[in-house]
Amino acid sequence: MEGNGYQLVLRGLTKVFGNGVVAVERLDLAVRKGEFLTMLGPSGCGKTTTLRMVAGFEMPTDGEILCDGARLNCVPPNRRPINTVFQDYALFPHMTVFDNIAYGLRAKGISSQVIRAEVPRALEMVSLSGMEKRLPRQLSGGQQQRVAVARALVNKPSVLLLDEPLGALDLKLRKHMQIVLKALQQELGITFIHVTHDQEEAMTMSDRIAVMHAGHLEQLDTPKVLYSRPATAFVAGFIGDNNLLDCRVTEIGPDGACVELLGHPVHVDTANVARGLAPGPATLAVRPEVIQIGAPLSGVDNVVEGVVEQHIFAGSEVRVLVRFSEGSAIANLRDQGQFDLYSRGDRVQIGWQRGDAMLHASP
Amino acid sequence: MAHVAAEKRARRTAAPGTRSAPRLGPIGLLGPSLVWLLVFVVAPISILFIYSFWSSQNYQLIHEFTLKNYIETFGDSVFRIVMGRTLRLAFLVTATALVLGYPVAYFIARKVTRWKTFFYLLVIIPMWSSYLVRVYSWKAVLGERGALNLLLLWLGILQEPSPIFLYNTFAVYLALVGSILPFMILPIYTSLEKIPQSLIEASSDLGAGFWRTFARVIFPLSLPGTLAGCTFTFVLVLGDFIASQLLGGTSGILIGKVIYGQFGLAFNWPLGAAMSFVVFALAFALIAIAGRYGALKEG
Amino acid sequence: MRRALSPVLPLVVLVFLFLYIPMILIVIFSFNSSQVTILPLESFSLRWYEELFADREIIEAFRNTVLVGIGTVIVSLILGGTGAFALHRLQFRGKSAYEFVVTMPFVLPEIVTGIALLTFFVWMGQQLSLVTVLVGHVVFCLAVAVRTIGGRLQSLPRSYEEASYDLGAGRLRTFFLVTLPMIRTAIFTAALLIFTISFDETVITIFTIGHQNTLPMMIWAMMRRGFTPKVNAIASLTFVASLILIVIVGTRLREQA
Repeated sequence: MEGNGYQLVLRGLTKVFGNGVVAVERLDLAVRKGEFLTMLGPSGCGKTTTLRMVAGFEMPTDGEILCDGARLNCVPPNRRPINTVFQDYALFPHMTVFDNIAYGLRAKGISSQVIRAEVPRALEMVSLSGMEKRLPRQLSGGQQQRVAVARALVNKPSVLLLDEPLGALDLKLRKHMQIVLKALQQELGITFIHVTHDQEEAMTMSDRIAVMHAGHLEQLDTPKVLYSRPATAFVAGFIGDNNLLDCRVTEIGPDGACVELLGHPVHVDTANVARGLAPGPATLAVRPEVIQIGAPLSGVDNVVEGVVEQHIFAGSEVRVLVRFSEGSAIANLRDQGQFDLYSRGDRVQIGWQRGDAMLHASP
Repeated sequence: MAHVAAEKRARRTAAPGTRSAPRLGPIGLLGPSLVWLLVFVVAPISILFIYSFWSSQNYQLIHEFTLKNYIETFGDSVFRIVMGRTLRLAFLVTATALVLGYPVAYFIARKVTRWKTFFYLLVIIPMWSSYLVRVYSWKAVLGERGALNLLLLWLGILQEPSPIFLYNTFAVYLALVGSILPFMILPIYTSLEKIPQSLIEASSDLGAGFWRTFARVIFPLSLPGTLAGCTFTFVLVLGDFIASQLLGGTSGILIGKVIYGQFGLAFNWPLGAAMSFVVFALAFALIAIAGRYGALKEG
Repeated sequence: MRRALSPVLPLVVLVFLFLYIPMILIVIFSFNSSQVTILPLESFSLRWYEELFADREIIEAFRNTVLVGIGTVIVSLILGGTGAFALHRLQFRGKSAYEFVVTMPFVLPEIVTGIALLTFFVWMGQQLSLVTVLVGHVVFCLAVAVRTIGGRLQSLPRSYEEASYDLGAGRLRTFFLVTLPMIRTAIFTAALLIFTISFDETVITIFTIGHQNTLPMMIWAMMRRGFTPKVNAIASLTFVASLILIVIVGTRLREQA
């Protein structure tokens, strides 16, 4: 794992808190130099704890943190070549923007001549030139956020950590900052490690995403692979919209799996079957956009029957919620004309092709 | 090689900012105040306790263990009477202060917005100024040449000034209520202010009128502060001797004055120590119980 | 539930009158030129205030009181400040026990604290003086320092200090450049409160003072002798002084809340 352009390596990283809570368990993660990696997961999955261990604010119970080959475990945060953008920005309210950004440089004893050149450059990088004399409370949320980024980056860290930095911003500003941060990272070539619970944000910004759940790494892949080939039911349900249906695997053969779903036989291609799956309870993941509706439906490998409960006109698509004897599924239909075809209470058939659904072990 | 040296250096000093690293720190930061508390709080109380088991004769201290001080304390009828009077008065003062103070606290906490700071200041100014001066000031009201007499004379109710308002338990009672009231109001106010307006609105939304909302939502949530106020008030009366000395005369004697007397001409320090310790134990017990219910946070 | 005028208002006004009338009367009486205090005033006079300022004993007592006050503030801030830091920035067992012992002298009757300290000093063979008075005041006021500074430390987000470490600063630098500026008002508030308390403190002082005098001791002696305009004058002065200090502190406390 080392060498090969991996800048940050986490090996067997474990964190158990004093009250017995296991926040992170034997995490293995390798971050490439210059990549934008996001740790994604619901609250409590361990992503923030992991970030804080890398920053140095929590001591690992077990495992190793290696940065450029150096073991960081016992190194205090002020001596790591790593800087953090905090969730609440943590701009020192009693210091000007200039003093905030200069803080880290001054702590290292860098001459004021150099500082006077570096700070304006850092401000320019985040498009805030001329704001040196302002106080944090005179800045908007978005501006504060950018100062926090500048304050961290001016120290030229090997790795930049971002702890849900966009959480406090409104939607439009958020989307704008996502693009800004991504562009900044690509321009500077610094390794960014980003933590968020917003999967859309992760998909937009990251080169690779580490999906975490209950202290474990579920899958580490590019956004595209995570979406099209989720490795577990959790990832399938967490990334993008997905229908997760309980089923029973009756047979696993060379050309695919045979599954019983709501009394109907359903076939899944081999490539879409989770490895090591045995007959028994399982989870079928079908994305809304691959589902077709008909009354009746033809030309489709798998068909199940249900009743329309709701139909929603969502602008670019039509969403139909179909209820089965057990459970329900949402279909996203591109054809807007289909909105008027089905109304509440209609008996319909919905279906998909064998290569469009994925079969996972039950969580 | 460099990172090995860095690690060695790091191991010697606990990492700043980490919450789970073993620390050398507490001893350095905690030390001064801890030593001070041990020497000047714990030790003196212990010495007081020891003193209470000695005795005094002919102005000399006899360092022999004896229970006679406690026997005298609990057996002596004077002490029992005075203690009884003090406890009764403490209850009365606390009850009065509660009845008067709670509405005031409620008013300031929930009924004013623009003048809140003004009323808040009005409450805390007496609280932090001299207790002695404020108790004494009741002489100006109750004395023979005081305002109450003048008022009654002017109204024609009295023909000449009366001395009955001062130098008795009633005078002590009034002065104590007037002087301790802020100590009751403030904790209750703090408690009430913390109640989110949304809770009261929710109660109203669900159909409850004012009194139901008060009984079910507001009052229970203000209990820690109310308990704190009552405890402080009670303990203050228990230990007071200034009001008793200035306004009590010969009939309004409280336990504080009796204890004080042991350290004056009577020169029976061990007896005074025993009595003090009884008061201490009682106050300590009350505070500890109240603290259990979260009252100490509001003080 | 916000009506134009609360029905509780009359009671509130009555209570405040109850709280303040006695003191107002004292202030009025202090300006009476007559030795015998009767309303209406014989004539308006500053005579008693003049006598106060000419009284050398009182001036000296005032000086002692200020000295003890300043000393109490300094010692309390140091002990209380370090204690507050230990409580809110470090991990150790027995935090609630520590808080309890700190708060105790403040909530227990002063007479107990005073007598306990007296027996302690006598047993130690320590002569009573202004120093022993200072010790007594610090014991009483420590809770104020710990509570005030501790409260601010508790509500201060950890991320500021973490950001400072993250940017490369060590513990000392972080304390002086980041933490201290942000708790400055709390320290100032605690200092004013402690000075006010120490300035007026009577009961503990009675038991721990030696041959010198503080202002409260003089006032106490004067009060036991009788109800005279001179006492009224000095009582009024003390009260007004406290009032000014508390208004300053109170407005700050409200801002912080």
